[in-house]
This record gives sequence, structure tokens and C-alpha cells, in this order.
Amino acid sequence: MTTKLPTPRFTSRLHDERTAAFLGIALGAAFTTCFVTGLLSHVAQDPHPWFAWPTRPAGLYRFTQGLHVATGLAAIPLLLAKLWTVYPQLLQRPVVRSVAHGIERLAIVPLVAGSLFMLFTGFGNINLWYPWPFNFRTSHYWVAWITIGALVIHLGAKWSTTRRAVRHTDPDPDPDPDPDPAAEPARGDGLGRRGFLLAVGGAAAGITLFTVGQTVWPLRKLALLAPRRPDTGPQGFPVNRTAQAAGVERSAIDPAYRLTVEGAVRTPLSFSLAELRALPHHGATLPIACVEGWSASRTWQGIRVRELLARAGAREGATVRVESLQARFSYATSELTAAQADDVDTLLALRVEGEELHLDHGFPVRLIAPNRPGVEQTKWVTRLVVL
Amino acid sequence: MGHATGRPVTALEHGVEDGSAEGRPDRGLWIGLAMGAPVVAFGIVGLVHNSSVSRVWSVGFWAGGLLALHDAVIVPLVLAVVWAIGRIVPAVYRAPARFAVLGTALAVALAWPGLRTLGNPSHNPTVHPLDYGAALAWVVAAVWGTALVWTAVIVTRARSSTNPR
Repeated sequence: MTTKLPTPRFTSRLHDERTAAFLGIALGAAFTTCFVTGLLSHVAQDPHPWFAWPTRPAGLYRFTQGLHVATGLAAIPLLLAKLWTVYPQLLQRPVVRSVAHGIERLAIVPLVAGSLFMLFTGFGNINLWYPWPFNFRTSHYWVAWITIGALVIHLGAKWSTTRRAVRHTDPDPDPDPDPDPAAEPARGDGLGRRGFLLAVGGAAAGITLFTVGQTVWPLRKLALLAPRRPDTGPQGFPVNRTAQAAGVERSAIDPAYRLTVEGAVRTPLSFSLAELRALPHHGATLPIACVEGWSASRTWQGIRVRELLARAGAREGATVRVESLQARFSYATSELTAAQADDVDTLLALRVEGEELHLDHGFPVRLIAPNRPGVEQTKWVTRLVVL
Repeated sequence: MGHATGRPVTALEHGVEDGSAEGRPDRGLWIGLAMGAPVVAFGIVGLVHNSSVSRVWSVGFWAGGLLALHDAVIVPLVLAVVWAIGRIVPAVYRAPARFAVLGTALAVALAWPGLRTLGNPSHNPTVHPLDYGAALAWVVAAVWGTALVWTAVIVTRARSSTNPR
């Protein structure tokens, strides 16, 4: 004996395919933007032979990563609204009508689970909040591929439906022959489709307004929901890893500190801090742009890396490993490509805005180079190794 | 298959579209599957190859857990709130009231790490530098202010439609 479950009834017009189509288009654009900018961030951190991350424009990474985080945050209400709109499909019976229908429904599982996972882990990361046991970067990167692949399947499955729903201004080709007057929304009761979409768009815009100031300087005072303020921190801008967290509080101020240039060079070099201060200094106004989405532009003063390399007799076109005083940290070293090492604005900075670097900003010496993720702007530099 | 707009629909009516309206059943799905399935497989292989088995299970557990949390808790809760507002608030004010309540919930969720000082294990003072209680109050005020303006627009329109002169 079988018991037939009643089919749930959703009376709101907001569960219709036209609403879902518009939300789906907005969400698809947002996820595509996040995916592309996320890939760019990935290759900016791990250069690939087939893709040379450029040194110019200097603020490109600031833009792409700021866009990545802002779009991800704005996608939260879009995703929630879209899932609410199509929620009746979760309860549809029969669960599977055909092989194609079954495949489509199956593909929705990685799509929805992946979407929620991406937004939740991304939100945790910008808050430096990691309640999960897995590596954020690895999982965020690979689940992004799973999610975008599932999105492509879903796009294919919904292509004709979406086109029809968006094109038809009167999407009611099949009027209900036996309408249920009790289910008709009363005048003024709840939202119409346009109002609903405006409300969801307004929520996305509001989230952007209250968070994007962490990277858009003029809006910094409105960054009320952002985990960072670009004007807050030692010397007026944030820090991602403090000297205490890095374990360099003593070594960074040790009078025996030296900066060495070694590796594939004719003349290995070694400088005390006083000797570094006596070298010719140059200025560059460059952003610190963090993968967590905040950024701040500052004027830095320091020694050009290319001049140090020339002084050491390094060959032209060499890549350089920049090593920090900090130990046991995956970003304790970074690598400069040949183009980055040769850029006139790539500095070993000793000062920012005319002041000696704060310990949390990398005293005595930090790397600052155009168009690099903040995590690659190595602080507390003690060694350049020419490769 | 067509769906009505502005009339009640059932879960059954929300069945997955198959493109049959254009005479090419499932073609879009197969094209999407041919393009998307290798990408999904690439992601799964990459995740497995770059993580330990326990980490992969953990990622699956979290993704599945978030899905279950959303479908079994959050959406029913939203439906209950929407329904309750429909019972309590006069019809003309329901839309802005729902916007205000759900917008407030979203703002609280976004401010939660700052409110509870979650994360930031190294106590970096530049992370969550604000008084997030006060910051949230401003955001919530903006949400309810928007809802009030919305209500005023609804009331004004209703009056002008009943008093055309």
C-alpha cells in the first residue's frame, strides 16, 4: 500500500519562471564575474608558464579582487532569492520524470551546494573566520570549478525556458482554466514581480554600499558591514598579518639584522639597516590589495629591486625569491617574475608616507610591487635569492 | 510547458523545463552536460588530488550541510516569517514589512562575525575595527527607513488612485 503525499501549493506569483529567469541571469552574471576574477587571483598568486600576470596597470589586482569580493557579497541576496523562488521544485512529484529530468535535477545538487559553499567560505575568509577543518584556498578554488561546471549544465537545461520567460511580456500562455479565486493575491498584499526584483536588487545594492568602502576609498565611511576599513590600522591602513602573529617581533628589530642578495649573482651583497638607509631611495604610489577584498593606496619609499640586482651582477631577466624573517608560513616567501623584478616601481620599501615602516607593516624592509596580491608583498624581508 | 504568472502554481507545475516548447526536447541539457560535466569532473579530481581524503569528505560534509541547512531550516523559517507578517500586518503594508524584516535578518547575518568577534585568531586589531553593534544599528535604520519610504509611496499612490482629483 502506498500513500500519495499531497502536492504542496505555492500561491505566490513570485515562484514563477519569469522571476526565476531574471534572478538566474543576475546570479549567472555574478557567479561568472566571481569565477573569472577568482581565477585571475589564483594565477596572480601562482604564476603559470602559460599566463604571465602583468605588472601594469598597477591597480589591476586591486580592481579584480575588489570586484570578486564585492560581487560575491552582492550575490548573497541574489542566491537566497533565487533559491526561494524555485523552492517549490524541491518538493515536486514525481521526483524524476525522465532520464533527462533526473540528470538535470542531479546537477542542481552540486550547483546549489557549491554556490552556498562558495559564498559561505568566501564570507568566512574575508572575516578571517575559519570554522571548517579544510584549507580555504584549495577548497574554494576547486569547488568553484565544480560549481561553475554545474552552472553550465543548468544554463543549458534552462536556456530555452529562460529565453521564453524573458522575451514574453505576457508569460501566461496557458491560462488556468479553473482559477482558484481564493489563491489570487489580494490587491496590495505582498509583492509583485517587479517590486520583488527591485527589493532583491536593492538588498544587493545595499550590501555593496555598506561593504565596498573597504576598497573604494570615497565610500570608506559607509563600510559598516565590512570587516576592514582602508583608513584604519597602524600608519592609517590595515594589516593582514601582524608582527606578533608572524613571530618576528624580536628578529625584525634585532640590531644584527641584515638584508642579503645572493643566488645566481656575481657579487653577493649584504647590508645592515643603516647601509640600506644610505642607498638611493625612490618613491612609488602603489596599492596594497588583499585577497580578502580590502585595499589601500600609499606612497612608499625604498630601494629599487632592479638596482640591487644590477649591483649584485644578476643576469637580466632573472626571477627572484623574496624571503621573510618569518618561519613556518606558506607566504613567508614570494617570487618576483622577471618583469616584476625589473619594474621601476618594485621597491624594497623602508618608509611609507614619509615615515619609517611600522613593525606590523614589515619593518625594517618590505616588498612593494605593482599589481601583486597583498599576501605576495612580503614583509620583514631579509633575503633576495636570484634564481 | 508554460507557467502562469499571477496565478497559483503548484510544486508539480514547477517541473523542470525540457525545452520541448521549441520542439527540441532536452537539447539544451545535453549541450550543457557536454560542456559542464568535464568542468565538474575537473573540479572533483582537482579537489581530491590536492586534499587528503578526510579533507575531501569534510568539504562534502560542509557543502551538504549548508544545502540541508538552507533547504530544511532557512527557507521554512523565511516562509514562516512571510506567512506571519501576512497574518499580522495589514495587506497594504506587507511588502515593505517583509522587506524590512528580511533585510534586517540579512544585515545581522553579515555583521555577525564582527558582533561576535568570530575568527581573527591572532587578534589583529585592524580586523573588525568598528563597533559593529552601532554599525548594524545604522544599517538596520537604513533598511527600515527604506521600508518607510516604500510604505509612504504605497499609501500616496493608493490615495491618489481613490481620489483622482
